[in-house]
Amino acid sequence: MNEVLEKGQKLLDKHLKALEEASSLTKKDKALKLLSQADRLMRSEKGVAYIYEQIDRIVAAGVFADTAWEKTDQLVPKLVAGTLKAGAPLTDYELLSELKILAISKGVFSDSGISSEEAEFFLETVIVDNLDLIYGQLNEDQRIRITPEELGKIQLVFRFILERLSVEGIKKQLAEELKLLTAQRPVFTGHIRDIIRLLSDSVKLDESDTKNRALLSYLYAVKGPTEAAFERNASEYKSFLENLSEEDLGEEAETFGKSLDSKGLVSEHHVELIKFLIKGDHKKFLNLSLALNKIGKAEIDAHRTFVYQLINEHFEHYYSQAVYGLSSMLNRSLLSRPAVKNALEHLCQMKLHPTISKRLVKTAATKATNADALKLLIGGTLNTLGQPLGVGQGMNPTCQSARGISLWSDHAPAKLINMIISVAASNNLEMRFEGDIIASKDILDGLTQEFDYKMDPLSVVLVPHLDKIYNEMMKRASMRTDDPHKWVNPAFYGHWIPTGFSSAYSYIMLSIHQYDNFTACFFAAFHPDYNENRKVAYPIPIGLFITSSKAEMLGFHAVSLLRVAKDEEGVVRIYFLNPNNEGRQDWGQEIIPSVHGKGEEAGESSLPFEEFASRVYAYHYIPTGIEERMKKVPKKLLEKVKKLAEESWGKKYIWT
Amino acid sequence: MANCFALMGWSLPVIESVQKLNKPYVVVSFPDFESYAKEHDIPFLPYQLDEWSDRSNARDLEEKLKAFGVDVAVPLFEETVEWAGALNSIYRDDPRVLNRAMLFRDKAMMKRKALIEGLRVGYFEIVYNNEDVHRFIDRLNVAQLQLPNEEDAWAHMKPFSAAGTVGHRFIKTHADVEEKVKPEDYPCLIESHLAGKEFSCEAFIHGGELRFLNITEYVKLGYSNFIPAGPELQAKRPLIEDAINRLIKAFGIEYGMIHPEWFLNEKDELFFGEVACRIPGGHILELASKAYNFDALAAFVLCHDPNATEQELAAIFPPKDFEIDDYVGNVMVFPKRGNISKLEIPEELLEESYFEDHNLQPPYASQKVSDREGFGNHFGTINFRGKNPEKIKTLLEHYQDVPFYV
Repeated sequence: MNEVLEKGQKLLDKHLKALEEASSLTKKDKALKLLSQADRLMRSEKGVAYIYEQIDRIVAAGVFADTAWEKTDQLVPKLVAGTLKAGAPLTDYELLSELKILAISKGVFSDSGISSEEAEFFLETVIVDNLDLIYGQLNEDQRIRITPEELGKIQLVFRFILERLSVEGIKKQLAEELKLLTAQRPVFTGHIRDIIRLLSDSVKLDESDTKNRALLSYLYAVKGPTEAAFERNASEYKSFLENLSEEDLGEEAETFGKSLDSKGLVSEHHVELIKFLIKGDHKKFLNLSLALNKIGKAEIDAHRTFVYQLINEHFEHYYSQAVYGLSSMLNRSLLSRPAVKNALEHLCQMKLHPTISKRLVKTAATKATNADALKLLIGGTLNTLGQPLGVGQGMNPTCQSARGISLWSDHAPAKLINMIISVAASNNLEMRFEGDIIASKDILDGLTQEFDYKMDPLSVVLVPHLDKIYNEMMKRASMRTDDPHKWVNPAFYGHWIPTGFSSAYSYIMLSIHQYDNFTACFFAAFHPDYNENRKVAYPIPIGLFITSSKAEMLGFHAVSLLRVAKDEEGVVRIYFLNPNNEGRQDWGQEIIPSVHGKGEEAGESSLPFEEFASRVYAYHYIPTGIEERMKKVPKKLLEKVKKLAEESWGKKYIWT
Repeated sequence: MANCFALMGWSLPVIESVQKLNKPYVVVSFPDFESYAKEHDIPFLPYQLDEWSDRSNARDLEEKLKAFGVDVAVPLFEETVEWAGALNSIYRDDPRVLNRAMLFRDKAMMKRKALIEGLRVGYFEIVYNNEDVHRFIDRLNVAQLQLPNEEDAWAHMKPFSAAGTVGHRFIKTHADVEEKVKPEDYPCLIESHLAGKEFSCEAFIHGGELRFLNITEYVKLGYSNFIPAGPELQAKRPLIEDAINRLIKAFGIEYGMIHPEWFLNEKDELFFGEVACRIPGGHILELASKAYNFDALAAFVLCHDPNATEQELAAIFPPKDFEIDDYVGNVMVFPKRGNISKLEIPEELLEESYFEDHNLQPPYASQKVSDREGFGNHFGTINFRGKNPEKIKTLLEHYQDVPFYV
């Protein structure tokens, strides 16, 4: 990479000189050539810095001549999001323009168009508008449109800007962002930690200022929830604990526990604290520090030896997040299921396949370079077991696998751990499909080549194998007269999937066929007013049409329907798992899934029943009595759903 | 030194190079370009170059150019070669300058001249209709001593005067004649297929003398080439230089640059394909500028000036003992047919150390790409640079098939 970087710098110099020497006749062409090198350079921090050093020369040479970026005072922050996603060379023009504005805000470069204050305000507005992009929490629309490398480039440039800009103007929005991100309790917390790290690196947050309190609480959660912890690194904190009075120790434990419970984030100090509490056998304080509820307390009492061993042998600073996994798992009483405990014991003793070790240390779940692969896997497994709804797919198009991991974590934790053990030992996974055994090692197609490692350790190990098997099943079930999911879902996810299956698209008519029937069946299966108030037992795999904020068809997506309930305002809502990391989306027609404040549990998304129904294309249901109940669904409701469907994804289809 | 150059046609890089030469010039081109020229202070004479009439002819043009003091005309486009020839005939007071220009504009005439002067060419005829072509194939088959049921010998049909591969039809069988040839193609030239490696040269000539010679290696005609040619072709340089000198003599070329295409067969025999005397396609002169570190476009213009001094010529070309640092090559990107919505730059390109730059632009919203004639307009060019010609070749071969537009 260094060679490429060095060459890139030389070539940038050369292209810059060519641009300076070009007359207006060939400016545009020379500018494009320079941008193609800038595109390459902006993929590394040093490259971005190198471009920024020359930004005054680049601008003066006329890189923006005859483009929309030429006149700084005419730039519109709202338009930035669009061009950032447009791809080369527009994205590169946009990023260079942001670097120019940064230079103006710093007074390094003067532009008659705008003042340095205006430049700063411009960048703040752009950053707040594009937080999702900058921190990599993409919705489906963005994930389809931007490659991981393009995204990486955008993020590098914005981080460069953020490090040089005071975030004063965006504190409030950042606090809100952190609130909504942590409310979803993701297993993978890398991006949340990135935002917080950025905050601590770039701004002095004065505690006396109430505006800063919210932000500081997140900073403390990852850097040390108590004053003593915050001021010390984890090793110093260990010595500090040794000299603490019983009373003070109790306070430390309680504060740590509260932070853990309210944010779902863990600092390195927490690992030292619980190890210290175990050593001194401070059972009560340990319970406090792990935020254990009644069930959790009973659980730890019953399995104390195993829990202590787990912590002492497998918990490290570099994956402190495991503490939250353990806490949640204890509160779910999972160790009292012998199959789960046995499987975990087995996991702790196993020897990893070398390929799996290599994959594990690539997870972005830790920044450590010397991390022990098995410890990461154990920690990641605890997190997944404790937070079934926090499973995400990263930038990978593997919603089905994420959905499966979540389902098994919730309803078949031992099965999940055994899958992990089998993959971790042999780099292979086998599943049955219609009497045949499918082995992942025999399948060549898959996405292992361009795998995004911004995922939790368990997913990093399991998803490539699950994805291969899922694709192979889909291949074998294709060319039949109905949606292949009908056969694949029960085989892939397991016997939890109900036997009824309905698809809006008819593989015989090649059209959206009898849509009202399809919708009526959906209401009769899940809506409490029409299904005799029958609760959903297990997560239901649902195929969704994903639409953009302009309600245009984008593609297909897999989610799980978890439960249906009335919210505080009496609206019947569907609560579902969107494995796409980030439940907050905009599907057009004012259909905007909520993740917080409408009765959602951590990790759930929700929508009013009809709105959700309008995006469904396939689902499983329990067939008993469905036909009778379908008759009771009012026409008016069906029409409402149909209208939403027809005016969005429906435009792409023939209706019969 | 020339009093004033008339640049016939339109090329921004050439105009920029002449501006840098600090020589007086005027651009002669279609009225469509006038507003751009005005806006950028380019001396400009609008002229209907596609019309030949009482109001539009060389005498009239010469008259109009007097105001600029023009004494040298330089053809930039294939279609302006005879205009420049006519003007230069007047300026040099030599009617045969025009006749020689016509050699470059009529492929049949060009072949005949080459044949007479002893250059190797294929078997060729002028054809007026499908029957002529069938007869040509029959005669070719007989000459090749073909037995019954053997495949027909291959032939190529080309319009007399068109740049590059516009209107080129590759005839492999009798059946192709009805399928591929359109009535409006006639009359045209037909020639037997020349086997071997195709490449081009750019020979800069002044005072009837070869001043600088570049050999360009084609990786895929019309898609990718690199400069200088790899060692295999460079080893044949004496042979090639000799052929070029014979071509210069045969055609009586005194001033300008010629761009002949040759075929080198396995027996190391050179066959003459065709020759042009305008700016070659494929950004070849831009590549030459980069490879030899000189301004090939300015040199192209300067070579047309009979009054250019030896000092001026020596200053513009690379020194005789110049050694290249790197090979430079390019791929022209043509989107595949059909709807395209997005430009995608593959990551591997940006990680490639030989990658120099590209100027690809995104398509308009869901642009539709239709069939193209000849090579049409490409959407952009990717440039590579490096020490190893084999690697350059591999890269060009790879990237000419990469779909940048999806």
